[in-house]
Amino acid sequence: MQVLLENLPQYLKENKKRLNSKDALHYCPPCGGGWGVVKTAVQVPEVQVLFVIPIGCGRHGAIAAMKDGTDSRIHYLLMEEVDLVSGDHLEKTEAAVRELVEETEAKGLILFTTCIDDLLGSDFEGLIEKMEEELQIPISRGKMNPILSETPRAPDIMVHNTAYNFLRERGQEESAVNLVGCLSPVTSDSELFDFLESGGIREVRHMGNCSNFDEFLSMADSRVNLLIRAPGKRACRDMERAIGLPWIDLPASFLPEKIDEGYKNLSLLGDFSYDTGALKREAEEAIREIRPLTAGRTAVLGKTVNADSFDLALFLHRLGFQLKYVLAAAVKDHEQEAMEILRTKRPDLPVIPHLDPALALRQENSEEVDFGFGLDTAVYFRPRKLVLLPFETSLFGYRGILALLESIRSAEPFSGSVKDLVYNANLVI
Amino acid sequence: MRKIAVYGKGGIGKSTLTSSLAAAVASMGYKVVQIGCDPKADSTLNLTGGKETVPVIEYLRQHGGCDSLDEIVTWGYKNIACFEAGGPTPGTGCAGRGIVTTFELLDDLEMFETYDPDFVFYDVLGDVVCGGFAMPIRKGYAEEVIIVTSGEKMALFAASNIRMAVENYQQRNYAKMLGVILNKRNVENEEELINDFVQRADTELLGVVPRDKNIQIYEDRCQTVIEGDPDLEISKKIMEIAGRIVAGGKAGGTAVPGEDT
Amino acid sequence: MKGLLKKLPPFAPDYSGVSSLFYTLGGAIIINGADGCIGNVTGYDEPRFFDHDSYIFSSGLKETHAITGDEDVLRSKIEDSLEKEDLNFIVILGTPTSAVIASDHESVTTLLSRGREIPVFTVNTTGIDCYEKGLSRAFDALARKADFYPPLSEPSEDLSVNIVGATPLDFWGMEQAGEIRDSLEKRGIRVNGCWGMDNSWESVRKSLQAQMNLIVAASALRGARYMKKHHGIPFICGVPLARFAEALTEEIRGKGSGQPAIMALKPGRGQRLVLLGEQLWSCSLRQALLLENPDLDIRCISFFKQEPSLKMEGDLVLQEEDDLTEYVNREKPTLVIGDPLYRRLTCDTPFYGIPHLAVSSRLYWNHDTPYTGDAMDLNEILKRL
Ligand SMILES: Nc1ncnc2c1ncn2[C@@H]1O[C@H](COP(=O)(O)OP(=O)(O)O)[C@@H](O)[C@H]1O
Ligand SMILES: [Mg+2]
Repeated sequence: MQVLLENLPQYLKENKKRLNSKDALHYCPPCGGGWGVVKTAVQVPEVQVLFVIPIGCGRHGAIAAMKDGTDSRIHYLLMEEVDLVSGDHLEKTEAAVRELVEETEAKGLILFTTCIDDLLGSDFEGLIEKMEEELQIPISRGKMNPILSETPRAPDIMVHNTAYNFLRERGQEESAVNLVGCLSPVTSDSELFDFLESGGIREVRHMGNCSNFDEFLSMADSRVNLLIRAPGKRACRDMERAIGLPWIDLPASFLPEKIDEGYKNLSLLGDFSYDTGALKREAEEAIREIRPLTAGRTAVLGKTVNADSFDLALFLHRLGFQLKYVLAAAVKDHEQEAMEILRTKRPDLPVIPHLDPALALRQENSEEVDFGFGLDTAVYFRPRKLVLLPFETSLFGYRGILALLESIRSAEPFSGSVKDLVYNANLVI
Repeated sequence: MRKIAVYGKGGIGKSTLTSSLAAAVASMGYKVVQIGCDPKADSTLNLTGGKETVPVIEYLRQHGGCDSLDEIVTWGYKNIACFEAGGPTPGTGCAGRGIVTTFELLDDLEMFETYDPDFVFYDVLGDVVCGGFAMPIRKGYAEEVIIVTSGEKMALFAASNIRMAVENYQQRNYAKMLGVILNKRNVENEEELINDFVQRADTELLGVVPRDKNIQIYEDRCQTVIEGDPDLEISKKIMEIAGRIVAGGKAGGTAVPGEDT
Repeated sequence: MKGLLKKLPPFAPDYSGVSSLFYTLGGAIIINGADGCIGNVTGYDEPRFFDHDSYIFSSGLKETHAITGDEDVLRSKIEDSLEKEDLNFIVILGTPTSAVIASDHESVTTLLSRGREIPVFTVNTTGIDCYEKGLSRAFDALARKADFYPPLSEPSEDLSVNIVGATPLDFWGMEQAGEIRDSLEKRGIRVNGCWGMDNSWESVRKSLQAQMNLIVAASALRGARYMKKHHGIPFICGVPLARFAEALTEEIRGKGSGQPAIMALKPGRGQRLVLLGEQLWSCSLRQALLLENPDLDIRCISFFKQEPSLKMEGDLVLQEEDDLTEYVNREKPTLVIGDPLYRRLTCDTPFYGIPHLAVSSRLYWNHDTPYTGDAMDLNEILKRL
């Protein structure tokens, strides 16, 4: 059920900030997915990934990986009914791990289990310890366990831990930092890199950019983790605890005040001569310039965007868009403020939980809007123009704002096949 | 910090003894946490004066998540921090997982760091030994196991199952046996049966608790005998066992509070 | 090793099978599990998702409900969430999670049935088995819904059949099912209904009007046997394709040789061909190829269950990935025909790819060459020999 923003706080309280009602069925169309744990984990180079799963759990990740061309490093051990009772799959897992380590030149192994082993309470930690010793190879536990989604141990959060668990020994590299939490690396044109470089930080690491396992491990030597997106927060905290790697909050945002704040946080690291002022003015100027194109235009913000819903919603509102709906999953801690501001400006704005069962009926009588942000808007509405913001492109900073404005300006009237659009995005629920 | 899991067949007196031992250890000046891992969620009633601790699973079911230890802890006798895992209504769901979930939540809320207890007691139903129920003796949780049993056949059967689970895990350097407590049911040859079990299980007898009506008398007031009247014979017996536990299982002696054991 | 997939994806699970049979029948399909389970169906096993009203939901099973028991929650979610009017039925399917906690779906459907006119039922799936097992149960469940059938559905006078088993998981596209229908209709056989694709609740309800069921996938056999036993509707197995369409329709007309057309010609001793796919489709293709060249030694092998009574010499079920590699190394076929993904396991053996959605999901589901009906061109295969 959609809710008006003004009614949101009560609703939030009941649901611990998640919007999808815990009392409703979930509608899960292929446009509602994201990267999934497979695509995230397989970014760690030169590791083999083994899923221990009932057959029904592995299909989406496997096919998506085939489309992405990463499937040669992903394997599945199928559980049988009797394993559920006997726990025999633990022994089979040992054999499968041995076989994979012998046959591949794996530098490390990620071992994923599912909801099932959560419920069975299978002792994979013990197994991993044993196999690490036997095979002399680092093994990290992963969990594809959507029964924990929307909790502090949600799979899209924990998968970052899975990846960074490989980092063990900390070195000292003052001129390097890591980007954490963003699925894809921040786009290379962002001023973030100029900013960092002006303070002597020349090496900016992201797991998706590491070409081999050793390079990935060198992330442990970096001076600091920059937390770009919230799902990486737990990993940052755990890395701080485990190997003493500190972290700084640097959230990707489209709101100039938050971008400013991020750079201020960053300045605590040292002296950065780069002045973001000029670029900030450029962005502000561009925002003014685009208004004739955006003011009064109707728009819907979807969930399938590489941005925080309420952060982007507030930005679109400021551009003058007449927001008709926002589809969202949750109000994350760091977008609470943006949500509050938006709520005072648009108490009447309907927010639709992105898995709301009523969405199943929406396709039939879809409403026309001027702009759709996110590919799911093309499924539930009829946007005249579509702006995608895919997960593969992580926009950041003022250049991020400029890039978004440019894609709004250059958005084409949408006429393509929604189906192709969705399947080509290759999302996983 | 020492973490001790107390296992035994349902109804054997785990909760009674765990609470009494917790109370005894706390009365020596130690900081104690007790976690009930039985879907019945009645482990800590005699520590909280009958105040019902909201089971973690029940809390999660109602609220979806939990942000603070204050929401789920009940402070009992001598400031023992009491938790109950809770579980399903009988006949459905997955009780074993309830224990895992509770532990994960307590981890997330940094319970050990926050309370920094000297002793943590897990009161665990031992009839079933599926994965979840073995959780308390996994890595990172209890390092020591106490089995409570009587001389009754079923109690001993459960006891040897538990012993086997510990044995299994021991190969992975998990929990070790601390010992066995005989909670008497006055069956024939009870001591002999127990001595035999203790020997076969390659562990030691931590003590013998006689059947004592005072246990019920104070239970009716939602108290342990330690709280109710420390001068009773039964209380002294339990203090003695507590002393042995504090001393690390080796016979006799009461350690000095505050010292690292 | 057993159960380890290094080259192939996990195949479509049982709940994808069930969902695929009920998909277009105008009911609500509820998969009781975490959202990841349904993601396999909606995104990877159901090509009709965007072409058809999709009234399929996840129960969004959460850990706390898995622990405390989820039956009440599930029931109230279903009661509160289904806004669509004139639903034809509600079906509840299980997943690995609900299997582990032993969710009692029967009790939920019983409670939901009260005060409802429409059937509410469950098909026992676990997400641990493959699609064909789910499909088999689903066809059976549908066949058993005696209350679906209007009392006056007397067999019609004309020669008419139900096509039973044409789900996208085996026939992936509407075109493929359409070809089957066309090849029957152009031979004067009326298609009364089609279970699996291209059908409606109405047509299923009129199933007893047909004189015969044409079974086009082995998974539909259990349901077909039930209908034969309880409603006296006989069945014939086979997929009309290429010249085999003629032989099959002769059998439908009752003018066959007396033995099933799908087993009429025995393989020869010539070049060896291996067909990997759904059993009835590959057996039909074998007959069609033998009509062109009776010398061919054609074997139907599969990773999926085969109906024993339809097996011919050399037909077999493979258990593991490695089995296929070993098989081609041992048997040295001239050509292997099957889902393109199998090529990863057949070494240098010449290969002709024909998609099987239950294997390769959406990787090839837009492929629109007909592999059924009269339009199927066998030259593409024959010229590779
Ligand atoms: N030594 C004892 N003497 C008398 N009553 C006892 C003794 N030990 C346990 N009981 C009684 O047995 C009953 C069950 O004990 P309880 O601790 O709840 O068992 P468990 O936790 O193992 O299920 C309680 O009513 C308790 O008072
Ligand atoms: Mg108890």
